[in-house]
Amino acid sequence: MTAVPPIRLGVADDSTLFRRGLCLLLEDAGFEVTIEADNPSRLIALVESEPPDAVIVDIKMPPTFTDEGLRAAGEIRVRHANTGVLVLSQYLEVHYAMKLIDEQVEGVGYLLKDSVSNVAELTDAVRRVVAGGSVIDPGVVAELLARRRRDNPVDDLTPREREVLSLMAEGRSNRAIQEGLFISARTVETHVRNILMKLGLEETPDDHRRVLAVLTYLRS
Amino acid sequence: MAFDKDRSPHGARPPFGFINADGYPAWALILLGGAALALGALVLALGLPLAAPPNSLLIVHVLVGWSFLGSSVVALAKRPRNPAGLLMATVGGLWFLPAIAFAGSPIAVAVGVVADGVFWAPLAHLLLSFPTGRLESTFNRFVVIFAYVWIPSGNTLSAMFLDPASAGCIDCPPNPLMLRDDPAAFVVMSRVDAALGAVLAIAVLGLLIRRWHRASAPARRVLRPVWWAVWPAFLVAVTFIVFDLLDLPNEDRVQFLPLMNLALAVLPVAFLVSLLRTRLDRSMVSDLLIELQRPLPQRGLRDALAAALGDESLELGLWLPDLGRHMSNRGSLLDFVDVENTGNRYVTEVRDSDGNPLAVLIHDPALLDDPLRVEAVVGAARLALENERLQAQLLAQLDEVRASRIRIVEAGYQERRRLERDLHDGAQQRLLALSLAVERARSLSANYGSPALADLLADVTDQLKMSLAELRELARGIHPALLTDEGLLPAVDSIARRAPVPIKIVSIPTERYPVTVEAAAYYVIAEALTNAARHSAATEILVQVNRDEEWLQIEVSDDGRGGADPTHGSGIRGLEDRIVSIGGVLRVSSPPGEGTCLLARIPITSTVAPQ
Repeated sequence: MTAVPPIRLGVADDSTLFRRGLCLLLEDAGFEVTIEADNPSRLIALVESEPPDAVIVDIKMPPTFTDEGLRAAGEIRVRHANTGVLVLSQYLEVHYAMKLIDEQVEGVGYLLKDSVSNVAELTDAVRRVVAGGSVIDPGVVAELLARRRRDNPVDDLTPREREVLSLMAEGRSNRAIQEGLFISARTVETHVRNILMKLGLEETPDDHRRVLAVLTYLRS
Repeated sequence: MAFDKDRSPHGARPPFGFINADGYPAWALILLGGAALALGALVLALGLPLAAPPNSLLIVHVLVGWSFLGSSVVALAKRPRNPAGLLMATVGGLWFLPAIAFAGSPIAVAVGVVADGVFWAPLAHLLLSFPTGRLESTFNRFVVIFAYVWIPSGNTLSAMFLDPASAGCIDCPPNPLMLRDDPAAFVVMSRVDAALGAVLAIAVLGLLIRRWHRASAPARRVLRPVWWAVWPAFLVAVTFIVFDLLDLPNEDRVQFLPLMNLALAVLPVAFLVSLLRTRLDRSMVSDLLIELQRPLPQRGLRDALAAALGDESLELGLWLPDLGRHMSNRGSLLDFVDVENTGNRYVTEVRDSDGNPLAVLIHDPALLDDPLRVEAVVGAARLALENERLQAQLLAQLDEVRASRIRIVEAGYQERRRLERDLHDGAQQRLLALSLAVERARSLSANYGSPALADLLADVTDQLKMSLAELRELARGIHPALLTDEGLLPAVDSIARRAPVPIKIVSIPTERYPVTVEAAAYYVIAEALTNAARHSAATEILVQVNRDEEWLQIEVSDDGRGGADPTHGSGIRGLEDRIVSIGGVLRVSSPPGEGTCLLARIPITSTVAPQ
């Protein structure tokens, strides 16, 4: 154990069963859950008094069970620059993820609830959001890449390039891609350059602008 | 005429029940005609030897009487229920009566003197009551009664002071009415008589002018010939009165007589034309009969009836047994209090063949002048009305069926949504919580050195993930939450992402529509895309949704092999049923080798509001 204080988290989900399970899992993983809420307004109020490092929010919550979670996440993200948001959803829908990303790229994530049960994946996502990065569930990215089109430049990518593109779309940095694929930094850079060229996108040193550009391209 | 409560459609008295269709027996009419001829002939026979030349004066005089009596015979034959015939006969009779003086006996002379000009009274009566036979106001009645009373009275009063012998008529028989010979009193009485006559004439004309200006179009059409013919006759009356007032010599009077009498002779003809004109208009009834043979409403039953009755203001009220009210052709429920308030309307009830209420015609009271025509029109229209009512009932039932079909379809969509929510909040939620617990157990067992157990639990987690994925697909297939939350475009876009064939969304409006409209549109597109992807071998499918005023136009087309049979496979049939249920249209065209195109139109307004 180091002297670094544990990451403090807020968790909001109207399903007690799931929320409790999630909190226990997070605490097991070394996080400190400082806020537990079963509705968005309570979450916002608690965050207001003591902002955690990140909040994990269910997309569907009372009162209308549509996209309260998304809206609460957006609001928290705007008001608290140092609090990241991770939105959880049961829906494997690109639309919701893009709705979140469209408002704010930095420090936001969209994760399927299925993925949460993989503690490594969950921990990784939370840390990246806290660090100000973006997280898009691999399932959603797969959905984005799977779309069939006529004359699709994505079809011209090599399998390796597709892998790199997926990781870019998930919001990972070059360094993370390098570690994930066990390849050199130089190779990653080459892949990234080739991909952006093939898709007709501009190169940018900013990871956030890059993920947004890639996602926007894939969604259209 | 104000609406009469006693004649309301629910009243006991049928509006035309008092009409006796038999009219006058032929012998009575022949007798009247014969009497007219005989009277005229008698006047000629008695008068010609006495009258000063020219004899044409007397002949024209007789012609006036014959004109009235002859017209009355025709009027009584054709319009037995219209008092105009009787009044014309009275005018004719009274016209001839003064000629009795030719008989020469004192009594006959006295009767002749008293009867002089009395015919004006029934003539005023006729003018003011034509064509209904009713005197509408108290003032009308007063004027007519005054004429009946005053004219003979005035004659008598004047005669009481006149001695024909001292007035210069040596041959004249003695005056049995004379009280005393007083020429001064006679002149005064004559002047008073003439002045009152002038007042009467002006009153009658004034009332006529007022009536003409207040008359509705159908009323004017009937009144018109009389209106034009009355002016010469009025001039005759005025001239007579002026002569009397100025006490002009008889010779000057005589010069005007033929002209005056001709003007009077024309008058009964004008009355007759007015009466018979309504007869001519009955050809409209046969037009109506022909029109009613065609399916209604080409012009609409009301229009056809209005044309046949010559009353553009006609309003048709169909009886609705369920409501116990009449529904106007303008679509509102009729309130007879309103009819009464607007005044000048008359309500005629139409009953069906069983005597049950069928409809009401709210029309101009002037139509009552020709009740037979109204009866004929109503009779001709009765079948059509029954038909129309039946049709209205069928339409109402159809509306009911349509509404219930919409409800069934809506209930179906709602059920799908409910199922999806139940899965989301129930089974999916529990499985997720379970997978979290298993994951905790896995990491705990790994930490406590049970790698075999950890592996087993990892396997359980994978199985759970697959179950969750399958459950998610199932829920999405039942009803996509995205459609409810975000609308048609994201939902169709989501299908497009998963499809094995490239799908291009050309356009889909982002605005939201009622739940049923969105659901119907979504399932049409989903089904069309599934079919195209499965069977068409297309390389691309285009989806286009446009809003066209109150319709949502959907087009799904592919470049596949075509030749799809829309009657095959329950998918399209089921879709069509649902689309038609909410008032939409579905068409599939699939010529071999030219791809398949599915077109659907869904009304946006016919269904419930968005939730």
